[in-house]
Amino acid sequence: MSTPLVKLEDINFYYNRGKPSEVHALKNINLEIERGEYAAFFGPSGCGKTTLTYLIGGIETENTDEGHILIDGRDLRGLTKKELAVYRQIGVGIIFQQFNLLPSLTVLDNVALPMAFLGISVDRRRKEAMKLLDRFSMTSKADRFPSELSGGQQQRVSIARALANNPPLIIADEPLGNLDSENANKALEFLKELNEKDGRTIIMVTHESWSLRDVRTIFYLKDGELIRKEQPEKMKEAKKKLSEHLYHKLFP
Amino acid sequence: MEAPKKKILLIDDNEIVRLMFSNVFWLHGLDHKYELNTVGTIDEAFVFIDNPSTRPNIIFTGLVMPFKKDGKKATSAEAGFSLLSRVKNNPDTQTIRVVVFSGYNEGEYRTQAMSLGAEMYLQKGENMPQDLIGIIESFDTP
Repeated sequence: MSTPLVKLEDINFYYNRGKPSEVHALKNINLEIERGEYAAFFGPSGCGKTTLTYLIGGIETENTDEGHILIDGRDLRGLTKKELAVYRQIGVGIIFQQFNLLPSLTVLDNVALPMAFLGISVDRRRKEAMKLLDRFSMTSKADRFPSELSGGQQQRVSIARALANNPPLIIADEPLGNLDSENANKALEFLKELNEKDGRTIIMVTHESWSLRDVRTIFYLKDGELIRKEQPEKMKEAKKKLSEHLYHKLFP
Repeated sequence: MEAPKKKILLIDDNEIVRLMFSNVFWLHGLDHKYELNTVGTIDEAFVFIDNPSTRPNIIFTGLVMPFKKDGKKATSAEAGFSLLSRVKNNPDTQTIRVVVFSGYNEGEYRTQAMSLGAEMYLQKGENMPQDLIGIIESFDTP
């Protein structure tokens, strides 16, 4: 058996622990995501899905109350601050709902920024950033500032930036939230391509069921609990092959 | 039985370089194929190189690093060059492939490294994580 890229064991996470405003945001979460998987955390607002991706992304890791966050077998909670900082730069690329582009930097420099943290020279990172922009048909906007772009264009820049340091894991937090349906469709196509062609592992956080169309594993969350895991393709295949009776036994 | 993992030793006095290297191995799944050790000094490096059971197949070394010369501490490119020539002049270790990486793109350094038997001379700041993976995997084909 290969080691899963992501494995969460008995995760418990509280906001404001010990205070009257305490929230038990994640309750005994256990899950595994294989390398090359396209997974989604699905649930209503406040279900804990974003918090969960922050733990995997190394953002709230230090504040986790209980459990293990294993990335390819190694527990993020055991890393030093410096190790965690490097992990955040090369382990995971995050596509934020609000895009989070720096307004004072050009499109090109926004995409090149994560490479600067690795000490890559200015020339090399601009060259790499240009290649990424080309992939998303955005080279003509390289010298523009984020405020001069449409929402869909900013989204593409944000995806390009997430890819900058070639991370094996991409987290897309409500990636379609601020897009019209045409751009939302394009964004889904990009994510599918990153998964299928580049072999990257993708975790999408969403509350919209239509955005799950290409996802292979869906984790349903409610009130901080993981209530169900579904693999639609496997279910469809099983349904084709098995009798209804057996199918219902396997997937009640 | 599984083939033994290829051993790689990284020598650099910069902790961030060492962390980046080991994180690339971990995150891209190279840990399953290679055994990586990282050290910050030449002295520590030879603890691994001199012992046949920890001797690396591939060495990545920085060039300008602190080292001891005639009992005194110094920091210069001589650190990397002395390591390279010691490895290449010892019949037990001369088959180790050595990649030198440096912040200096001086032709002189490059020429000296190559003439002492380095496999490659990489310039720091010019290699993305994916390049590193490519270089390591290119050594798998003889």
